[in-house]
Amino acid sequence: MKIQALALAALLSTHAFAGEVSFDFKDPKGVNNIVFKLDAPLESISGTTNGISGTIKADPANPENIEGKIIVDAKTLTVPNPMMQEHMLGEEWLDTAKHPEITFEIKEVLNSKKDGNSGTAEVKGLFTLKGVSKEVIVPVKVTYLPGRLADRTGGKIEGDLLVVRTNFQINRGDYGIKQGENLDKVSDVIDISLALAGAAPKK
Amino acid sequence: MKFLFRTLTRLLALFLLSTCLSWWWFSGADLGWTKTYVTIPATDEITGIQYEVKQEKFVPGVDFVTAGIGLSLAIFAASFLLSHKTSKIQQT
Repeated sequence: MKIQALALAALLSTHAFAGEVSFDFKDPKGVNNIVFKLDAPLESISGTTNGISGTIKADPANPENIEGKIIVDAKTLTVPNPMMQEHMLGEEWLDTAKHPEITFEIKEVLNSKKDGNSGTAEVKGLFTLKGVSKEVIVPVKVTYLPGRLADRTGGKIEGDLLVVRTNFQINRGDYGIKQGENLDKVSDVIDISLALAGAAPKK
Repeated sequence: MKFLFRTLTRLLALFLLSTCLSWWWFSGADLGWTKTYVTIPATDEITGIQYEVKQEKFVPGVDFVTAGIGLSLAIFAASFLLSHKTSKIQQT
């Protein structure tokens, strides 16, 4: 009886994730990027990072069937001024020595709309910054590029690409980053833009 | 001799001030903080992702100008002390 139940569970799980492809977001080309902007009354700060990794499992035929996690190496966040960068990564602000990762874990896909190989959706996920996790809903645009990995690798690797774009805001105070302090120079609202391409090599 | 010292110190202050201001002005008179890199926008042909390519470049900002002005003023102020001390030594 137990064996039958296990076999049924295995069959159901295989069926549920039929056509699911795993996309790796570690990008050796350095194209994948996240831009963050803070616009305070006295100072505007803009920075970027390419230190992105993680995987997303998606079924191109069924956009709601998606799971995965995007990880950012917090130490790779950069701003053009070296002193500002030192402060940003330091103990008082992001404390990257204690909290080396910023993550977004997909929990649920809502209101997905498919248009050919592209689609839009609202993704509910768990955003973790400086050790604090909060549930956020972000608008996402996804483009599936079947067979285009070869073009990106000069024909060396065959496979598919998944391009993910999103723009959302968080409040630094919600994540324990100097809540209510230095608001004239460092805005509480952080505008985050992601443009990532994940690769799924054909096995 | 005292006039020579004073003049040289003041010339140094003037040189520092003019160098600092010209460097800032000819680098684009950036009103932000000093930058050690600039970004050039690029687009990935396959994915259409727009990204920024970093290029190492020193761009002086307002902090650089402020420090330069402050240092020149300090040197200029020191020129008064120098001439005063020199004249006292010569009198004794």
